[in-house]
Amino acid sequence: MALAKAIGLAAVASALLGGTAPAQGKMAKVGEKMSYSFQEALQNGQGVKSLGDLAGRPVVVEFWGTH
Amino acid sequence: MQEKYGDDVQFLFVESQGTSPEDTEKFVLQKKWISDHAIWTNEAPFETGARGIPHCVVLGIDGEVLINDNPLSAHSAIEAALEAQLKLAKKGPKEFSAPLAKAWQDFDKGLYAASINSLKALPEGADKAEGAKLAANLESRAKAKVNRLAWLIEAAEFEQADKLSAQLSKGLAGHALEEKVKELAGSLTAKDLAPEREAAKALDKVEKKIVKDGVDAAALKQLKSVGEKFAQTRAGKKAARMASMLGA
Repeated sequence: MALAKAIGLAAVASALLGGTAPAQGKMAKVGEKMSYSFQEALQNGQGVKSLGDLAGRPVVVEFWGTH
Repeated sequence: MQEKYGDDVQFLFVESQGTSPEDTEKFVLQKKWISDHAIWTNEAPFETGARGIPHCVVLGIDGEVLINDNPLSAHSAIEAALEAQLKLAKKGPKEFSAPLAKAWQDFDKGLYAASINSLKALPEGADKAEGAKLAANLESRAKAKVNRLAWLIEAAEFEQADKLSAQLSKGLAGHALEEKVKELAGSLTAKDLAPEREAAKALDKVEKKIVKDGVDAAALKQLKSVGEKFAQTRAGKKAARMASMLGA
């Protein structure tokens, strides 16, 4: 819908934030293929239930925080 | 970056400070970090080894980790990796033989059924096994597109659903998924969807205002109004939920 754009702000704003990504699952090492099925429904999920559903397009996974 | 790449690159935002899904959604709404295609979650799909945020992992078109770094310091490398992957997404991997590359490119053009069928029809020989593997991969991608259409309809995202429905109806004709697409396309043209479409249009108008002016008193009032007027519709319920979360 209409509430588009502005995602670039996320990187800038979250640069001001602290925090750590939760330890969970496989380590993302360069060169390795990742697979994961999400346990919880994703927000604005677009029907995606696993990383495999995103195949065919590059994916940017950004870890950020709200504090 | 989201604006630059649009639908060609999938952005997945992972909240990493233990905030509840509801508070995350509220935060996203307040900051207007909303996009047609970006997805949010509180569930990390993998570890990064990073000690702080922001942190970014770029996955290639086949799920391979290309970059695991700070998005600010690695900005140029990220863009270069994405550009290379976008080329790959159009042309297919370099090691592909001509029939496999053609099938890949046809799929990219929206000729889903033709692409998959051409791989299944490959004669016995060097390409047969690789063709079967690629056919399975493309089948999975086609199914993900149909799932996305179902989600768009359920989420009352009718503008996007109409476009995808037309694309899938054409591209999947003659494929096993055709029936499912027909069913979904039929639900989009059903007469009883008219109130849903009207509500979605009203919500869309308010969302545009929020993108432009931010979440102010007028926007909250409008959200509440859409929620009340279209209380029985999905978009109306979404408007009411947004109004409640944002403090109306």
